[in-house]
Amino acid sequence: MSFKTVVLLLLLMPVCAGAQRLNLRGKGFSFAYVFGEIKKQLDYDIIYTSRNFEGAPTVDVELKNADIRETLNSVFAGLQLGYHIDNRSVSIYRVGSPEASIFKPLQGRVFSAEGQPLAGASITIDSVTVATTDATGSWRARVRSRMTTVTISYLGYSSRTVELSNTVLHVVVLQSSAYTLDNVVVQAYGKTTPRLSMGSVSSVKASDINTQPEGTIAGGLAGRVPGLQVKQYNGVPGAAYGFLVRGLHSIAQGTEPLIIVDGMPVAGNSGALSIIGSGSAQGAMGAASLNGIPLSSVASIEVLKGASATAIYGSRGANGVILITLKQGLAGKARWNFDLFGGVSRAVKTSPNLGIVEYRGLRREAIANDGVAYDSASAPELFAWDSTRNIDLKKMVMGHTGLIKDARAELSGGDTNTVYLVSGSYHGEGAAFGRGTGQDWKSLYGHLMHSCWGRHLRVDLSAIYSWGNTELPIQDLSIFQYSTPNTPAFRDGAGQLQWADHGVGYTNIEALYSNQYRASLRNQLNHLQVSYEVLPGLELKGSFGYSRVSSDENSRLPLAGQDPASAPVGHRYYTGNTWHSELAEGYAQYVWKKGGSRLDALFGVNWQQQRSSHSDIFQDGFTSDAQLSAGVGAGSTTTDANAVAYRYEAGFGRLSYSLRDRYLVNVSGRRDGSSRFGPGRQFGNFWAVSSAWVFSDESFMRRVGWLSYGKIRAGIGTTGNDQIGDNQFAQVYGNTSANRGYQGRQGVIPVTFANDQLAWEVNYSTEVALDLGFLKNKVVLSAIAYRDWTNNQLVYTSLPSQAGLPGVFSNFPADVVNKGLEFTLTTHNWVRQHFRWVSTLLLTVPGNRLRRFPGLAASTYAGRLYEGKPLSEITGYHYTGVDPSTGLFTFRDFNKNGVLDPGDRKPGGDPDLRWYGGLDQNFQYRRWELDVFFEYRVGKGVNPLAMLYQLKPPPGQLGPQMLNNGPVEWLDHWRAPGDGGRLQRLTANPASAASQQAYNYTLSDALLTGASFVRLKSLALRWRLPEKWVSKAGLTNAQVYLQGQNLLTWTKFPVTDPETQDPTVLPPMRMVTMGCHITL
Amino acid sequence: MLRFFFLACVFTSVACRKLLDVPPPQDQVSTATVFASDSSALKALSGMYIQMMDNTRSLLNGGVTIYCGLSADELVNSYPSIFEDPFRTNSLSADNLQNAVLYNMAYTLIHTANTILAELDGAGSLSTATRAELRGEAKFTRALVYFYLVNLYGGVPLVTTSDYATSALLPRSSIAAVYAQVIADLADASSLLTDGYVAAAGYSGDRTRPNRGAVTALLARVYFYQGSWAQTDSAATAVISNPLYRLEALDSVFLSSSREAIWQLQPVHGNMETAEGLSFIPALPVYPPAYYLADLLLNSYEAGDLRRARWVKKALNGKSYSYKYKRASYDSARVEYNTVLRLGEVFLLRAEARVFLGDYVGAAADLNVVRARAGLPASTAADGSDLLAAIWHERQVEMAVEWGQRWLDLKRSGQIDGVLGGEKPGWTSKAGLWPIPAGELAKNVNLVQNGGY
Repeated sequence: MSFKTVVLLLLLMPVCAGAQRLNLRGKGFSFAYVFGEIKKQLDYDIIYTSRNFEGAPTVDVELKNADIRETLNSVFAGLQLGYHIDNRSVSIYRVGSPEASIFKPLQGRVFSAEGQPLAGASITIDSVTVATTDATGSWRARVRSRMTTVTISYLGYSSRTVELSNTVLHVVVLQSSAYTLDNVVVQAYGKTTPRLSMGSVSSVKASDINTQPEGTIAGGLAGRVPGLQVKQYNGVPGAAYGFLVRGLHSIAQGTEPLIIVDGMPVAGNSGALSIIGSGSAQGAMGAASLNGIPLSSVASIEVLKGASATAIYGSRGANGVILITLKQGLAGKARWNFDLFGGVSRAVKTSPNLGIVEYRGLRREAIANDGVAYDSASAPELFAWDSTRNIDLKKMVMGHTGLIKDARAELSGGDTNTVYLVSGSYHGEGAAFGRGTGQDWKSLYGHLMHSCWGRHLRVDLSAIYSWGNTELPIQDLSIFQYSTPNTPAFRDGAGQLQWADHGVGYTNIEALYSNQYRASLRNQLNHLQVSYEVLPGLELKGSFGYSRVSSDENSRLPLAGQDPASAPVGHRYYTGNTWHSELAEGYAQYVWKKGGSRLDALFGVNWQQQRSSHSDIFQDGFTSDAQLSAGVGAGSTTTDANAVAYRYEAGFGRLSYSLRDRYLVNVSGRRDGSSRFGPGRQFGNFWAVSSAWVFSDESFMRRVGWLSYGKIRAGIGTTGNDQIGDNQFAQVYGNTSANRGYQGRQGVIPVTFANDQLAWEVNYSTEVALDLGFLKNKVVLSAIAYRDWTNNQLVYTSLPSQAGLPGVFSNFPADVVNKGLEFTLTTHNWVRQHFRWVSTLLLTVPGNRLRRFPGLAASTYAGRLYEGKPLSEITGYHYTGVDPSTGLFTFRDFNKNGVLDPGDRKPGGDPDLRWYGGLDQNFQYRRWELDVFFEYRVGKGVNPLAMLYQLKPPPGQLGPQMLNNGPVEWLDHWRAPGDGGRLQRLTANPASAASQQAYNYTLSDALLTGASFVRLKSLALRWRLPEKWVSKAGLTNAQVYLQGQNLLTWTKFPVTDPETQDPTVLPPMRMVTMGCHITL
Repeated sequence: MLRFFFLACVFTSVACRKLLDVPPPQDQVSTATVFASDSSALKALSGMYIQMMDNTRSLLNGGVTIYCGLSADELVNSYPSIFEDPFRTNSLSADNLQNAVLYNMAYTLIHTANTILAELDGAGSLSTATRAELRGEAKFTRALVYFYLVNLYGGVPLVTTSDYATSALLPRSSIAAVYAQVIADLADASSLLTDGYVAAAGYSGDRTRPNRGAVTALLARVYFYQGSWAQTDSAATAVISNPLYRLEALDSVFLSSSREAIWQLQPVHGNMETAEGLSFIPALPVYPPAYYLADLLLNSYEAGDLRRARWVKKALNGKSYSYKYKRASYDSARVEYNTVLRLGEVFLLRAEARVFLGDYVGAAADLNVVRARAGLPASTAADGSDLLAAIWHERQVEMAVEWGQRWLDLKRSGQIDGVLGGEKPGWTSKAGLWPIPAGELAKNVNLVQNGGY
């Protein structure tokens, strides 16, 4: 039986019901259709002026064995229409004035309990938003029938669902809800509310990040979700962030959460866009693929944690799931929204570097310490170059002000059957390197919803198309802030680059700007969802998606940026990357209700394919920049290409049962197949069971007045991780990369062994949570304790050379345990008519530990991992301070053999966060709203001083390439016997004991240092323009706002920012923007 | 409707496995595909040679030459290096990284050869000729690598399978067992390979794929190292009498067009020349040579030896470097090839074998062929021990800085403690064998370290 036949049968059912009596049931019928049915079933001719029905609403009909009068009364209820029956014909006429519309809109006003009109509350009918309230709290909506069930919701208030008629003006009062217990949040394949949720779902309001200065979703999530760590690698615009949900689960495999946009899995932030050989200033992770999702199109972001919430995503749920839901349109007359903001960005303040006087002092001190010989060639900055010149290199390479520009326009409207939204946006951010470097994105977004066939069929289509451009140096220039402060002028009097002064060469920073990286990025996402309500409560859905992320990367190292004396040649890199994903999914949802019982069932199947490919070209040996630009005359050309496919399919299901919204049970399962595993190992089963008890609804709890809400829930389940390389199970040959080949023939060599044992990593996850609401939910606390253990770890087993290849992936019975606590405390500190103050405090206490690893000592992980320690545990000497007599770093000689050797290297701590979270304070006073968000992290990080000892040691070492300046922290060092000082004596001799100890310092536990910080992460001040002004200007709504990001940081972390930690990369940007929002 | 849904589920689950089929990543080829056609199977062979020549100073691309040269009394490195100095000072430790790289490359090549041999058994669609080429050349390669392994490290694990489950934990075999495998492989290769050289279009005349002559030349060397003098004599004679080969003038020996060459390896990258040329010749005349010749070697040339003039060159810093290969810079013309086996050596093999067989006249004749080419008069040595000494000296200068011949000769002839003990301070006889890398011992408990390490 085909789908079409089913639909036809359903439509024909009423016809067979009986003659002269009418049966019709459905929503959203046009009058023409109803009149047709009257003719067909009752055999009356309807006489009407079709002009009267232009723009008429559709009607909802629920008629059983109705005669002609009953039918017409019902259909015309609330409409300004009358009728006259004459024999077998009916004439329809208008009542009231000819100008009036034939139907009356449903209308009302929405107030808070304090009597304030609520502007921006949304009015939804059958999950379509048909109206929002204006500044006076008023709304109007065209509706289909006289009586309609309407849901009115407003952030921070409990939503209300009421039956309204179109004959009166309704006044609805919403009670403020301290905790958003009844706010709808998106979960896997559906929606829920925190009140009834049985898994850990954390929601981030789109309004918190929609107009943030930084155009990336990732930046806005930091600190706002318990259990989600967001790592910013550097402050370069567009650079990827790292996400970690509830800790590292896998020793050797991927730890990226699954990211789903409107039901469509998309490319993660794993560097899919940037793999160019030259690298770029964005760093090793490259550009964030998520940047192609414009913030203006995002309606909400939910983070799913733990098997109870993610088991339905099966093998890809182990690292958590981030659901991004895109905006839908608003029914009603066409409505324009405009947002325009702009501002400036600058790298956050980091330690200043030494000025020339201090620098010279340190340099001479080092030379004196070691008594080494020096001359103008080995110490040119003291003897050859202008020793008083003092340039601010930090300012030059990373001190520029970047501009932020953002503009958006959005149009939405429609009727209750068809709702549309189209928007276009532009976002540009300048980089701190100056000279036009930065990134910008342009995007188009559209969403169309249409329902028909009595609203049984609903079609949703969404599409994003965005394209961006990146222009950056090929490397992060921040490291060059540590060049000598009297580095000679980069250009001579005639403006030509110069490379040496007094015969001693130096790094020409100016020239580095010639080495450019340019990328054009594309992001496309299309998603179609068709749902059909077969029977009341039973819905079938089909979902089809296509997503494509691609980039063209170009890097050039022209001759113009190289010293002509070094016989330079030009290089050129090109990479084209494409990532596709296709999805087909079908599922059925069934809701059954009886009495206080409710059963929700969901079953579905899913097929997905991902393909990624790249092609690289490297050209070398250009002898002129003209040739380089044209790409002709390369001395040699190397090409490389690869294409990888991944397929995935699943069957999944979920059953949820609730009794009186008090006792809740949920079971979900998934059977997954992945092409990443070999024959016989492709399929895996994943499941979760969870339950909840809303104990505050029990009669014995009702007497406890101060407790307004209480729920306890627990869940257990399994998820998997298939983030391993493709085709690891097969014995394959790989291409060699010898461009001449052997006798002109390219070669292939064995690269892997056949490995049919490869199977899923399995993550067992348990959690217990307690949600409490106090004082009428003015104070709401949510506490979650989780414990995950990940087994069957897919680790790389290193083989002896005699096996022929370095090793093989195999599943190991190693256990990684992540456990932790997550708290969310929301308090309504003050709720009065004109003033409202709400605080949200988030705290996560994570813990990660390798519980068991049989055979660790014989594996490649020996000396890197330790049972009972976190996966990130470092190994090193134990640092014991600076010896006051010798001025050298000292370390503990554990094995007491008088020398430092590998036997003295012990586990030396970890850089994992101990606590992290955020504090959000929201104040509303009349037309003003102030939102202040602090992020905090407590833990250790990589000591930038140790990194500098490795990369840019303190002033002292001789030779033109060794002329390093450094941060003021270098001043705090040992100078004479008896001195303290955080750092050891300076040295000019690379073979001195001090140089050896500096090297040992970088191999010691001094590599870790306190990296705790509190950051004023964002601040937003908004002001709604008075209604009078707004309406006078013909607008519906107008706001102006001021936003800041990374404004202040409190930390004891040395040298650089405690989040990026690496002193050689650009720290995060401090941004301030101003803008306005207008609704027409 | 539910039935429809149920049917959809059933259909999907039946189609499940099919839906998960994906092609391997484009930069990988499934093993079955590689051995499905002649042309792709030959790429597996190319891959093996490219692997040999991929990295400068890897085992067969300058590695044996340089590191044996340092360990013996031929080369000195100009730049201090914690990885290279211990080779020169004969103080290698088991955790030396360079030693581990050399050892690893040996087994990587053996695995490549073993995989070819294993896959050929199931590759029904290959032509007989291709099958013979692959099998013969894989066996030749395996023999060559085991020859060096057994000489550098002693008895090593004898791996003849591509299955890691079998090979990973094998203990060391005896020296005799390794040699037996080498000889068996070469015998097979000899019957499989043709007399002529296989060369692709545009590469005709190249001797970069081993033929029966190359197998025989290597076999002569293997017999020679085992003291099987009669077999050495007959194998060497087969090569010397082969009209394909003749001694070239000194400047032409290492050219790609050399008729003295019995087997050469072609540089595979860009327009690169040989690893020897790149390593020995200073990139700019003002630079010191990275490796210069030890005084002892320089002093051992007789007066008037043209090899001192043609095969040695003095750098601006006064140090002399090996100048057998004369091209350090890039050249697309493929002028020089890495020469693995050449006729000059075969004459000296036969000369020495003939001494032991009592044929002093024949021995002197072979020796003098080599001397004459170097512009030297006939040797005056007449009796066995004088002849042997003369041949050993001749090997020192003729085969200088070439494929570790000196290092292996010193060990083979039992002179190593006498010679290096006198020349190198701190010499201990354990240094005659390099250590099995420490990482190998850690990963395979069945391995036993060489004595003294």
